[in-house]
Amino acid sequence: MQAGPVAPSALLSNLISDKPLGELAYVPLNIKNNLDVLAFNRIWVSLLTGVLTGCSGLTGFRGFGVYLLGHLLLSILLLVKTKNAPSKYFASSLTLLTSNVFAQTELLTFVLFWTLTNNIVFLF
Amino acid sequence: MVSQDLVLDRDVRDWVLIPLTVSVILMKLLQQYAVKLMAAPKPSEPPKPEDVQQKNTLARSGLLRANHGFISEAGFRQRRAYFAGKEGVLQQTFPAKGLNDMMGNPDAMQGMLKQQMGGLVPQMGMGAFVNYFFSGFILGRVPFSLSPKFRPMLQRGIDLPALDPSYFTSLSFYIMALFGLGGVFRLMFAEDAINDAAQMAQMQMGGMGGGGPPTLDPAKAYEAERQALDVVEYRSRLENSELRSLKLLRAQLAA
Repeated sequence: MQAGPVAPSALLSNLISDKPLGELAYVPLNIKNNLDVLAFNRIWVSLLTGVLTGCSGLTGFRGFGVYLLGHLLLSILLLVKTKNAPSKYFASSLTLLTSNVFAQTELLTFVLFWTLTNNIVFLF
Repeated sequence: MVSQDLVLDRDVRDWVLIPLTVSVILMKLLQQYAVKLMAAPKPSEPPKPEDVQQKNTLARSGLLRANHGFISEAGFRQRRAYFAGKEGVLQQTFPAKGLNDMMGNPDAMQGMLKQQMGGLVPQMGMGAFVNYFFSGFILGRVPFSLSPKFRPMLQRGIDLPALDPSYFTSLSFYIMALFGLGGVFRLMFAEDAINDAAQMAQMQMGGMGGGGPPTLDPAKAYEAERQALDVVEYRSRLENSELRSLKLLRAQLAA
């Protein structure tokens, strides 16, 4: 993940041109990169937790509990990587914790791999 | 909550579940590469300098409208006069262009249609294939219990009302795999997706509706730009910048 350069510059495009510049300054390309990295990791975690719960035979709500646990673990690890300063890397410090956890892609990936591995291992 | 598990034939796993998943993966891979191969070919003729000049003029005046808050008011007025004033660049008139526009448009539409159809047709074809060959049996079980309302969604074509709604048929598994593997593909093609997004953003900002010279109608575009420039009211974005920078610096130093 990248923090902005030493002198962060404000957006020069896509802003409403008749309002004065705000007080928040960030580099949009870096923010987007960080969000992409976060999404990438979330999909990986969904995949791995799906395979894990499938192989272990957990069913029902406990499986979803493992899913949430996995994402919580990911958030904690990424927090450590940002050296406890998530506001330097993201626009809002809550995005690390809650972005994309209940998004369609991650949930469906988890359910698919959970179903697949559960069926292969237990219904075989 | 623990329901009696159906015992399903191992051959069903070997010959349906795994091959279906693998073929969905392969189909998505093929789609991705086919899209890359069928990407719009470069135009055969080099663009004419007058067309490029017109596009650039329009781009510059668009930039002026968007970023006028960063230059001084006098500078803005001077630039606006250059574009929209009495002898401005945008006052240039053009001989009427008639049929040239019609020839350019179908090409642009065909490109986008082709991409969308290319994405949809193989999926539907494969769905029909799966429905024809792999119908009438249960493929597997979702590991969590579902309410009976899910039964028509997951068990098309099987009329056993006593069967657990967690069991699904091949067609519903195919659709589940289609959506679920989309996430996996984002993993595999992460760099390509980022590049595509950047390219699309650039194309939308830089290109003028279609992109090719035949689709640009300079008289109308210039007229629209002139009117838009006249509407703009100058407002400096740098107002109160000393106060704001003071606040920012204080916040940064305190943190």
